[in-house]
Amino acid sequence: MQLEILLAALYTIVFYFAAFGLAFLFSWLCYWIFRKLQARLQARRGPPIYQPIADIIKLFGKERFIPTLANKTLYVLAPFMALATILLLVYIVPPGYIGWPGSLSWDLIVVLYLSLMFTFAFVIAGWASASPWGKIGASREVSIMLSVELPLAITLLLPALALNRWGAPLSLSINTILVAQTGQYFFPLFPLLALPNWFIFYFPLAATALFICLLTKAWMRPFGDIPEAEPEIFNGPLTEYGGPLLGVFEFARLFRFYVFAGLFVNLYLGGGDGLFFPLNILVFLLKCLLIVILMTIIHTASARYRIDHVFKWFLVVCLGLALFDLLRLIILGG
Amino acid sequence: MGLLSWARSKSPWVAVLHCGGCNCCDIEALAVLTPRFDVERFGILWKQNPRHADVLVAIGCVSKHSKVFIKRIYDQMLEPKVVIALGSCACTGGVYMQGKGENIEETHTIIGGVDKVMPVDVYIPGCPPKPEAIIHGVALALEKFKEK
Repeated sequence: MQLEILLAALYTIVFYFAAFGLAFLFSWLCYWIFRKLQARLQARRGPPIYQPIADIIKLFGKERFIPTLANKTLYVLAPFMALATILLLVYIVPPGYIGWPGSLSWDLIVVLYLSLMFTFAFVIAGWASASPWGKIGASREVSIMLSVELPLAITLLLPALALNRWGAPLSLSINTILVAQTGQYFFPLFPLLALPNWFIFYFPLAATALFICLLTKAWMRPFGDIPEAEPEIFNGPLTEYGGPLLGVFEFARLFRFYVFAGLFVNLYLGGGDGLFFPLNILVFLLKCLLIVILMTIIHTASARYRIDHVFKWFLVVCLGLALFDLLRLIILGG
Repeated sequence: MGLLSWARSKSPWVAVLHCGGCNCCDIEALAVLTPRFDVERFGILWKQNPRHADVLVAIGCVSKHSKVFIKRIYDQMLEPKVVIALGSCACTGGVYMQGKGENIEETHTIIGGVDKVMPVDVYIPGCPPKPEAIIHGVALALEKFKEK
Protein backbone atom coordinates (compact mmCIF):
# COMPACT_ATOMS: atom_id res chain seq x y z
CA MET A 1 0.00 0.00 0.00
CA GLN A 2 2.71 2.41 1.05
CA LEU A 3 4.80 1.43 -1.96
CA GLU A 4 1.89 2.25 -4.27
CA ILE A 5 1.51 5.73 -2.79
CA LEU A 6 5.27 6.25 -3.11
CA LEU A 7 5.22 5.12 -6.74
CA ALA A 8 2.28 7.41 -7.54
CA ALA A 9 4.11 10.34 -5.94
CA LEU A 10 7.27 9.50 -7.90
CA TYR A 11 5.24 9.29 -11.13
CA THR A 12 3.74 12.74 -10.49
CA ILE A 13 7.14 14.25 -9.63
CA VAL A 14 8.75 12.85 -12.79
CA PHE A 15 5.93 14.15 -14.97
CA TYR A 16 5.99 17.50 -13.20
CA PHE A 17 9.70 18.02 -13.79
CA ALA A 18 9.37 16.87 -17.40
CA ALA A 19 6.63 19.48 -17.92
CA PHE A 20 8.66 22.12 -16.10
CA GLY A 21 11.80 21.50 -18.17
CA LEU A 22 9.84 21.49 -21.41
CA ALA A 23 7.99 24.67 -20.46
CA PHE A 24 11.18 26.42 -19.36
CA LEU A 25 13.13 25.65 -22.52
CA PHE A 26 10.19 26.48 -24.77
CA SER A 27 9.40 29.74 -22.93
CA TRP A 28 13.06 30.74 -23.11
CA LEU A 29 12.97 30.19 -26.88
CA CYS A 30 9.64 32.02 -27.18
CA TYR A 31 10.81 35.02 -25.17
CA TRP A 32 13.90 35.27 -27.34
CA ILE A 33 11.77 34.98 -30.50
CA PHE A 34 9.42 37.60 -29.03
CA ARG A 35 12.24 40.12 -28.59
CA LYS A 36 14.16 39.15 -31.73
CA LEU A 37 11.12 39.25 -34.02
CA GLN A 38 10.05 42.56 -32.50
CA ALA A 39 13.53 43.95 -33.25
CA ARG A 40 13.55 42.56 -36.78
CA LEU A 41 10.12 44.03 -37.52
CA GLN A 42 11.53 47.39 -36.41
CA ALA A 43 14.61 46.90 -38.68
CA ARG A 44 16.91 46.34 -35.70
CA ARG A 45 19.23 43.41 -34.90
CA GLY A 46 17.77 42.22 -31.62
CA PRO A 47 19.31 40.45 -28.60
CA PRO A 48 21.21 37.13 -28.64
CA ILE A 49 19.53 33.89 -27.56
CA TYR A 50 20.97 33.85 -24.02
CA GLN A 51 19.39 37.24 -23.26
CA PRO A 52 16.34 36.09 -21.17
CA ILE A 53 18.47 33.93 -18.88
CA ALA A 54 21.19 36.61 -18.52
CA ASP A 55 18.53 39.10 -17.39
CA ILE A 56 17.20 36.74 -14.73
CA ILE A 57 20.66 35.71 -13.42
CA LYS A 58 21.67 39.36 -13.20
CA LEU A 59 18.53 40.26 -11.24
CA PHE A 60 19.20 37.46 -8.73
CA GLY A 61 22.70 38.86 -8.18
CA LYS A 62 21.56 42.35 -7.23
CA GLU A 63 21.02 43.97 -3.84
CA ARG A 64 18.01 42.82 -1.75
CA PHE A 65 15.65 45.64 -0.98
CA ILE A 66 12.27 46.30 0.72
CA PRO A 67 10.78 49.83 0.75
CA THR A 68 10.34 51.27 4.25
CA LEU A 69 6.67 52.14 3.77
CA ALA A 70 5.71 48.88 2.04
CA ASN A 71 3.60 46.12 3.55
CA LYS A 72 6.57 43.81 3.97
CA THR A 73 4.73 40.46 4.08
CA LEU A 74 2.69 41.05 0.94
CA TYR A 75 5.61 42.73 -0.83
CA VAL A 76 7.71 39.58 -0.42
CA LEU A 77 4.84 37.10 -0.94
CA ALA A 78 3.45 38.55 -4.21
CA PRO A 79 6.28 37.38 -6.53
CA PHE A 80 6.15 33.87 -5.04
CA MET A 81 2.38 33.80 -5.47
CA ALA A 82 2.83 34.60 -9.18
CA LEU A 83 5.52 31.93 -9.49
CA ALA A 84 3.47 29.26 -7.66
CA THR A 85 0.33 29.84 -9.75
CA ILE A 86 2.16 29.81 -13.07
CA LEU A 87 4.11 26.66 -12.12
CA LEU A 88 0.82 24.92 -11.26
CA LEU A 89 -0.58 26.03 -14.63
CA VAL A 90 2.49 24.54 -16.33
CA TYR A 91 1.58 21.17 -14.84
CA ILE A 92 -2.17 21.38 -15.49
CA VAL A 93 -2.06 22.51 -19.15
CA PRO A 94 -1.16 19.29 -21.02
CA PRO A 95 1.49 19.53 -23.77
CA GLY A 96 -0.91 18.11 -26.37
CA TYR A 97 -0.70 14.73 -24.65
CA ILE A 98 -3.85 12.67 -24.21
CA GLY A 99 -3.92 11.17 -20.72
CA TRP A 100 -1.62 13.79 -19.21
CA PRO A 101 -1.55 13.09 -15.42
CA GLY A 102 -1.90 16.77 -14.50
CA SER A 103 -5.20 17.02 -16.36
CA LEU A 104 -8.01 16.00 -14.00
CA SER A 105 -11.79 16.26 -14.25
CA TRP A 106 -12.07 19.88 -12.97
CA ASP A 107 -9.31 21.35 -15.11
CA LEU A 108 -11.00 24.30 -16.77
CA ILE A 109 -12.29 25.74 -13.49
CA VAL A 110 -8.80 25.47 -11.95
CA VAL A 111 -7.21 27.07 -15.02
CA LEU A 112 -9.68 29.95 -14.80
CA TYR A 113 -8.97 30.40 -11.09
CA LEU A 114 -5.18 30.14 -11.37
CA SER A 115 -4.91 32.53 -14.31
CA LEU A 116 -6.93 35.01 -12.25
CA MET A 117 -4.62 34.51 -9.27
CA PHE A 118 -1.60 35.07 -11.51
CA THR A 119 -2.91 38.49 -12.52
CA PHE A 120 -3.95 39.19 -8.95
CA ALA A 121 -0.38 38.66 -7.72
CA PHE A 122 0.58 41.76 -9.70
CA VAL A 123 -2.30 43.73 -8.15
CA ILE A 124 -1.04 42.75 -4.68
CA ALA A 125 2.52 43.67 -5.69
CA GLY A 126 1.47 47.13 -6.84
CA TRP A 127 -0.68 47.74 -3.79
CA ALA A 128 1.86 46.48 -1.24
CA SER A 129 4.81 48.49 -2.57
CA ALA A 130 3.45 51.84 -1.28
CA SER A 131 4.23 53.71 -4.47
CA PRO A 132 1.70 55.89 -6.33
CA TRP A 133 2.83 54.38 -9.62
CA GLY A 134 2.31 50.90 -8.19
CA LYS A 135 -1.18 51.80 -7.02
CA ILE A 136 -2.20 53.29 -10.39
CA GLY A 137 -0.81 50.19 -12.11
CA ALA A 138 -2.69 47.91 -9.70
CA SER A 139 -5.97 49.74 -10.28
CA ARG A 140 -5.52 49.41 -14.05
CA GLU A 141 -4.71 45.73 -13.62
CA VAL A 142 -8.00 45.28 -11.70
CA SER A 143 -9.96 47.12 -14.41
CA ILE A 144 -8.52 44.86 -17.09
CA MET A 145 -9.17 41.79 -14.95
CA LEU A 146 -12.84 42.74 -14.48
CA SER A 147 -13.43 43.13 -18.19
CA VAL A 148 -11.37 40.13 -19.39
CA GLU A 149 -12.67 37.45 -17.02
CA LEU A 150 -16.23 37.20 -18.39
CA PRO A 151 -15.40 36.53 -22.09
CA LEU A 152 -12.45 34.40 -20.96
CA ALA A 153 -14.70 32.19 -18.79
CA ILE A 154 -17.30 31.75 -21.55
CA THR A 155 -14.76 30.92 -24.24
CA LEU A 156 -12.77 28.54 -22.01
CA LEU A 157 -15.87 26.57 -21.06
CA LEU A 158 -17.47 26.61 -24.54
CA PRO A 159 -15.77 23.42 -25.91
CA ALA A 160 -16.84 21.46 -22.81
CA LEU A 161 -20.41 22.79 -23.08
CA ALA A 162 -20.48 21.92 -26.79
CA LEU A 163 -19.44 18.32 -26.09
CA ASN A 164 -22.20 18.07 -23.50
CA ARG A 165 -24.77 19.54 -25.93
CA TRP A 166 -23.72 17.02 -28.58
CA GLY A 167 -24.40 14.09 -26.27
CA ALA A 168 -21.26 13.41 -24.22
CA PRO A 169 -21.47 13.44 -20.40
CA LEU A 170 -20.42 16.84 -18.98
CA SER A 171 -16.68 16.92 -18.29
CA LEU A 172 -14.61 20.00 -17.49
CA SER A 173 -11.33 18.28 -18.36
CA ILE A 174 -8.93 19.45 -21.09
CA ASN A 175 -8.23 15.75 -21.69
CA THR A 176 -11.81 15.14 -22.91
CA ILE A 177 -11.55 18.13 -25.24
CA LEU A 178 -8.27 16.81 -26.65
CA VAL A 179 -9.82 13.38 -27.29
CA ALA A 180 -12.84 14.96 -28.99
CA GLN A 181 -10.64 16.88 -31.42
CA THR A 182 -8.76 13.88 -32.87
CA GLY A 183 -11.08 12.96 -35.76
CA GLN A 184 -11.87 14.75 -38.99
CA TYR A 185 -14.62 17.23 -39.68
CA PHE A 186 -16.56 16.74 -42.93
CA PHE A 187 -18.56 19.63 -44.34
CA PRO A 188 -22.23 18.64 -44.64
CA LEU A 189 -22.60 20.17 -48.12
CA PHE A 190 -19.19 19.18 -49.55
CA PRO A 191 -18.51 15.60 -48.41
CA LEU A 192 -15.03 15.49 -49.97
CA LEU A 193 -13.76 18.56 -48.14
CA ALA A 194 -12.38 17.55 -44.75
CA LEU A 195 -10.74 19.62 -42.03
CA PRO A 196 -9.17 18.55 -38.74
CA ASN A 197 -11.82 18.24 -36.08
CA TRP A 198 -10.69 21.36 -34.19
CA PHE A 199 -13.01 23.60 -32.23
CA ILE A 200 -11.73 26.69 -34.06
CA PHE A 201 -13.68 25.49 -37.14
CA TYR A 202 -16.88 25.05 -35.12
CA PHE A 203 -16.56 28.27 -33.08
CA PRO A 204 -14.32 30.72 -34.96
CA LEU A 205 -15.76 33.77 -33.21
CA ALA A 206 -15.28 32.38 -29.71
CA ALA A 207 -11.72 31.37 -30.68
CA THR A 208 -11.02 34.96 -31.74
CA ALA A 209 -12.40 36.25 -28.44
CA LEU A 210 -10.25 33.79 -26.47
CA PHE A 211 -7.19 34.81 -28.48
CA ILE A 212 -7.71 38.49 -27.63
CA CYS A 213 -8.24 37.63 -23.95
CA LEU A 214 -5.06 35.52 -23.80
CA LEU A 215 -3.14 38.26 -25.62
CA THR A 216 -4.12 40.60 -22.81
CA LYS A 217 -3.33 38.02 -20.11
CA ALA A 218 0.16 37.60 -21.61
CA TRP A 219 1.02 41.33 -21.35
CA MET A 220 0.92 41.98 -25.06
CA ARG A 221 -0.15 45.26 -26.61
CA PRO A 222 -2.98 46.64 -27.56
CA PHE A 223 -4.32 46.03 -24.02
CA GLY A 224 -1.92 43.86 -22.05
CA ASP A 225 0.72 46.42 -21.13
CA ILE A 226 -1.63 49.20 -20.05
CA PRO A 227 -0.80 48.52 -16.35
CA GLU A 228 2.90 49.04 -17.00
CA ALA A 229 2.78 51.83 -19.56
CA GLU A 230 6.31 53.13 -19.08
CA PRO A 231 5.83 56.69 -20.43
CA GLU A 232 3.03 57.35 -17.93
CA ILE A 233 3.55 55.22 -14.82
CA PHE A 234 7.14 53.82 -15.06
CA ASN A 235 6.59 50.07 -14.59
CA GLY A 236 3.18 50.08 -12.91
CA PRO A 237 2.91 47.36 -10.25
CA LEU A 238 6.60 46.48 -10.55
CA THR A 239 7.92 50.04 -10.10
CA GLU A 240 9.27 49.51 -6.57
CA TYR A 241 10.54 45.99 -7.21
CA GLY A 242 14.20 45.37 -7.87
CA GLY A 243 16.85 42.72 -7.42
CA PRO A 244 15.89 39.08 -6.60
CA LEU A 245 12.16 39.74 -6.11
CA LEU A 246 11.93 41.30 -9.57
CA GLY A 247 13.89 38.28 -10.78
CA VAL A 248 11.18 35.98 -9.39
CA PHE A 249 8.54 38.03 -11.22
CA GLU A 250 10.50 37.92 -14.47
CA PHE A 251 10.99 34.16 -14.08
CA ALA A 252 7.25 33.68 -13.52
CA ARG A 253 6.42 35.85 -16.50
CA LEU A 254 8.72 33.82 -18.73
CA PHE A 255 6.21 30.92 -18.60
CA ARG A 256 3.34 33.01 -19.94
CA PHE A 257 4.22 32.05 -23.51
CA TYR A 258 3.95 28.32 -22.83
CA VAL A 259 0.85 28.48 -20.63
CA PHE A 260 -1.35 30.94 -22.51
CA ALA A 261 -0.42 29.81 -26.03
CA GLY A 262 -0.72 26.18 -24.86
CA LEU A 263 -4.20 26.79 -23.48
CA PHE A 264 -5.39 28.15 -26.82
CA VAL A 265 -3.79 25.31 -28.77
CA ASN A 266 -5.29 22.64 -26.47
CA LEU A 267 -8.80 24.03 -26.47
CA TYR A 268 -9.26 25.25 -30.03
CA LEU A 269 -6.39 23.99 -32.20
CA GLY A 270 -6.47 20.29 -31.42
CA GLY A 271 -3.40 20.01 -29.14
CA GLY A 272 -1.18 17.18 -30.36
CA ASP A 273 -3.82 15.73 -32.73
CA GLY A 274 -3.81 12.41 -30.87
CA LEU A 275 -0.47 11.34 -32.34
CA PHE A 276 1.98 8.99 -30.61
CA PHE A 277 4.38 10.18 -27.90
CA PRO A 278 7.22 12.38 -29.17
CA LEU A 279 5.30 13.59 -32.21
CA ASN A 280 2.27 14.97 -30.32
CA ILE A 281 4.46 17.22 -28.16
CA LEU A 282 6.35 18.43 -31.24
CA VAL A 283 3.11 19.26 -33.08
CA PHE A 284 1.82 21.01 -29.96
CA LEU A 285 5.00 23.11 -29.59
CA LEU A 286 4.92 24.02 -33.28
CA LYS A 287 1.35 25.28 -32.97
CA CYS A 288 2.28 27.21 -29.81
CA LEU A 289 5.19 28.79 -31.66
CA LEU A 290 2.86 29.95 -34.43
CA ILE A 291 0.50 31.47 -31.84
CA VAL A 292 3.44 33.24 -30.15
CA ILE A 293 4.65 34.63 -33.49
CA LEU A 294 1.13 35.89 -34.26
CA MET A 295 0.95 37.49 -30.80
CA THR A 296 4.36 39.14 -31.32
CA ILE A 297 3.33 40.60 -34.66
CA ILE A 298 0.15 42.04 -33.13
CA HIS A 299 2.17 43.35 -30.16
CA THR A 300 4.67 45.09 -32.44
CA ALA A 301 2.15 46.44 -34.93
CA SER A 302 -0.32 47.99 -32.50
CA ALA A 303 -0.25 50.99 -30.18
CA ARG A 304 -1.31 50.97 -26.54
CA TYR A 305 -5.01 51.66 -26.01
CA ARG A 306 -6.47 53.81 -23.24
CA ILE A 307 -7.93 52.08 -20.20
CA ASP A 308 -11.55 52.99 -21.09
CA HIS A 309 -11.13 51.33 -24.49
CA VAL A 310 -10.53 48.05 -22.66
CA PHE A 311 -14.08 47.96 -21.32
CA LYS A 312 -15.52 48.67 -24.76
CA TRP A 313 -13.40 46.02 -26.44
CA PHE A 314 -13.92 43.24 -23.92
CA LEU A 315 -17.47 43.86 -22.68
CA VAL A 316 -18.86 44.67 -26.15
CA VAL A 317 -16.69 43.11 -28.87
CA CYS A 318 -15.20 40.04 -27.17
CA LEU A 319 -18.26 39.29 -25.06
CA GLY A 320 -20.44 39.75 -28.17
CA LEU A 321 -18.34 37.26 -30.15
CA ALA A 322 -18.34 34.76 -27.29
CA LEU A 323 -22.09 35.10 -26.61
CA PHE A 324 -22.93 34.77 -30.32
CA ASP A 325 -21.23 31.37 -30.48
CA LEU A 326 -22.67 30.36 -27.11
CA LEU A 327 -26.25 31.20 -28.18
CA ARG A 328 -25.68 29.52 -31.53
CA LEU A 329 -24.65 26.40 -29.62
CA ILE A 330 -27.60 26.50 -27.22
CA ILE A 331 -30.29 27.35 -29.80
CA LEU A 332 -29.07 25.70 -33.00
CA GLY A 333 -26.76 23.07 -31.53
CA GLY A 334 -23.46 24.33 -33.00
CA MET B 1 34.76 35.22 -15.12
CA GLY B 2 31.89 33.84 -13.07
CA LEU B 3 28.32 33.33 -14.17
CA LEU B 4 27.11 36.40 -12.28
CA SER B 5 29.61 38.83 -13.74
CA TRP B 6 28.93 37.36 -17.19
CA ALA B 7 25.19 38.01 -16.72
CA ARG B 8 25.86 41.53 -15.43
CA SER B 9 27.97 42.43 -18.43
CA LYS B 10 25.40 40.95 -20.85
CA SER B 11 22.25 42.55 -19.45
CA PRO B 12 22.73 46.19 -18.43
CA TRP B 13 19.45 48.05 -17.97
CA VAL B 14 19.81 51.79 -18.41
CA ALA B 15 18.09 54.78 -16.84
CA VAL B 16 18.74 58.22 -18.28
CA LEU B 17 18.78 61.11 -15.81
CA HIS B 18 18.47 64.65 -17.09
CA CYS B 19 20.25 66.88 -14.57
CA GLY B 20 20.22 70.24 -16.34
CA GLY B 21 21.70 71.96 -19.38
CA CYS B 22 20.38 71.83 -22.93
CA ASN B 23 18.72 68.76 -24.51
CA CYS B 24 21.29 67.84 -27.17
CA CYS B 25 22.86 64.89 -25.33
CA ASP B 26 19.36 63.50 -24.67
CA ILE B 27 18.69 63.40 -28.38
CA GLU B 28 22.05 61.75 -29.08
CA ALA B 29 21.41 59.20 -26.33
CA LEU B 30 18.03 58.35 -27.85
CA ALA B 31 19.66 57.96 -31.26
CA VAL B 32 21.50 54.97 -29.77
CA LEU B 33 18.17 53.10 -29.64
CA THR B 34 17.37 53.63 -33.33
CA PRO B 35 17.80 50.83 -35.91
CA ARG B 36 21.14 52.24 -37.08
CA PHE B 37 22.89 51.80 -33.72
CA ASP B 38 20.46 49.38 -31.94
CA VAL B 39 21.91 48.73 -28.49
CA GLU B 40 19.44 45.94 -27.67
CA ARG B 41 21.84 43.55 -29.44
CA PHE B 42 24.13 44.06 -26.40
CA GLY B 43 21.21 43.35 -24.07
CA ILE B 44 20.78 47.01 -23.14
CA LEU B 45 17.18 47.85 -22.25
CA TRP B 46 15.80 51.35 -21.73
CA LYS B 47 14.24 51.16 -18.24
CA GLN B 48 13.38 54.65 -17.05
CA ASN B 49 13.18 53.38 -13.50
CA PRO B 50 16.11 53.67 -11.04
CA ARG B 51 15.01 50.54 -9.14
CA HIS B 52 15.37 48.36 -12.24
CA ALA B 53 18.42 50.05 -13.74
CA ASP B 54 22.06 48.99 -13.45
CA VAL B 55 23.55 51.89 -15.38
CA LEU B 56 22.65 55.53 -14.72
CA VAL B 57 23.42 57.83 -17.63
CA ALA B 58 23.58 61.39 -16.25
CA ILE B 59 23.17 64.16 -18.81
CA GLY B 60 23.87 67.88 -18.28
CA CYS B 61 25.39 70.02 -15.55
CA VAL B 62 24.10 69.95 -11.97
CA SER B 63 22.14 72.98 -10.85
CA LYS B 64 21.71 73.91 -7.20
CA HIS B 65 18.03 73.09 -7.49
CA SER B 66 18.43 69.58 -8.95
CA LYS B 67 21.32 68.49 -6.69
CA VAL B 68 19.08 66.93 -3.99
CA PHE B 69 16.99 64.98 -6.50
CA ILE B 70 20.00 63.63 -8.38
CA LYS B 71 21.43 62.33 -5.11
CA ARG B 72 18.08 60.75 -4.23
CA ILE B 73 17.76 58.99 -7.59
CA TYR B 74 21.33 57.70 -7.23
CA ASP B 75 20.45 56.29 -3.81
CA GLN B 76 17.32 54.61 -5.19
CA MET B 77 19.39 52.42 -7.51
CA LEU B 78 20.33 48.97 -6.21
CA GLU B 79 23.93 47.73 -5.99
CA PRO B 80 25.93 47.02 -8.12
CA LYS B 81 25.49 50.24 -10.09
CA VAL B 82 27.54 52.23 -12.55
CA VAL B 83 27.24 55.94 -13.38
CA ILE B 84 28.13 57.40 -16.76
CA ALA B 85 28.57 61.17 -17.19
CA LEU B 86 27.47 61.89 -20.75
CA GLY B 87 28.62 65.10 -22.44
CA SER B 88 30.93 67.97 -21.49
CA CYS B 89 28.43 69.51 -19.08
CA ALA B 90 28.03 66.29 -17.09
CA CYS B 91 31.83 65.81 -17.02
CA THR B 92 32.90 69.29 -15.88
CA GLY B 93 29.99 71.73 -16.04
CA GLY B 94 30.91 72.80 -19.56
CA VAL B 95 29.91 76.20 -20.89
CA TYR B 96 27.74 76.89 -17.86
CA MET B 97 30.77 77.51 -15.62
CA GLN B 98 32.61 80.81 -15.31
CA GLY B 99 36.34 81.56 -15.35
CA LYS B 100 39.18 80.47 -17.62
CA GLY B 101 41.73 77.64 -17.76
CA GLU B 102 42.48 76.32 -14.27
CA ASN B 103 40.27 78.82 -12.46
CA ILE B 104 36.80 77.40 -13.27
CA GLU B 105 34.26 78.23 -10.57
CA GLU B 106 30.59 77.64 -9.99
CA THR B 107 28.01 80.28 -10.87
CA HIS B 108 24.99 81.39 -8.87
CA THR B 109 22.91 78.48 -10.21
CA ILE B 110 25.27 75.78 -11.51
CA ILE B 111 27.60 73.86 -9.21
CA GLY B 112 29.48 71.84 -11.89
CA GLY B 113 29.70 68.28 -13.22
CA VAL B 114 27.82 65.23 -12.01
CA ASP B 115 30.82 64.04 -9.97
CA LYS B 116 30.15 66.82 -7.45
CA VAL B 117 27.06 64.83 -6.34
CA MET B 118 27.74 61.15 -6.93
CA PRO B 119 30.72 58.92 -7.85
CA VAL B 120 31.14 58.68 -11.63
CA ASP B 121 32.70 55.61 -13.29
CA VAL B 122 32.93 56.62 -16.93
CA TYR B 123 33.20 60.08 -18.51
CA ILE B 124 32.10 60.59 -22.13
CA PRO B 125 33.19 64.07 -23.29
CA GLY B 126 31.72 65.84 -26.33
CA CYS B 127 29.14 68.49 -27.01
CA PRO B 128 27.20 66.35 -27.75
CA PRO B 129 29.12 63.02 -28.05
CA LYS B 130 28.34 60.87 -31.09
CA PRO B 131 26.26 57.69 -30.62
CA GLU B 132 29.41 55.62 -31.33
CA ALA B 133 31.13 57.37 -28.43
CA ILE B 134 28.14 56.64 -26.17
CA ILE B 135 28.19 52.94 -27.07
CA HIS B 136 31.96 52.86 -26.41
CA GLY B 137 31.37 54.52 -23.04
CA VAL B 138 28.71 51.97 -22.09
CA ALA B 139 31.07 49.16 -23.11
CA LEU B 140 33.73 50.67 -20.78
CA ALA B 141 31.11 50.87 -18.02
CA LEU B 142 30.37 47.15 -18.42
CA GLU B 143 34.05 46.46 -17.66
CA LYS B 144 33.49 48.26 -14.34
CA PHE B 145 30.92 45.62 -13.33
CA LYS B 146 33.69 43.04 -13.14
CA GLU B 147 35.43 45.09 -10.44
CA LYS B 148 32.26 45.50 -8.33
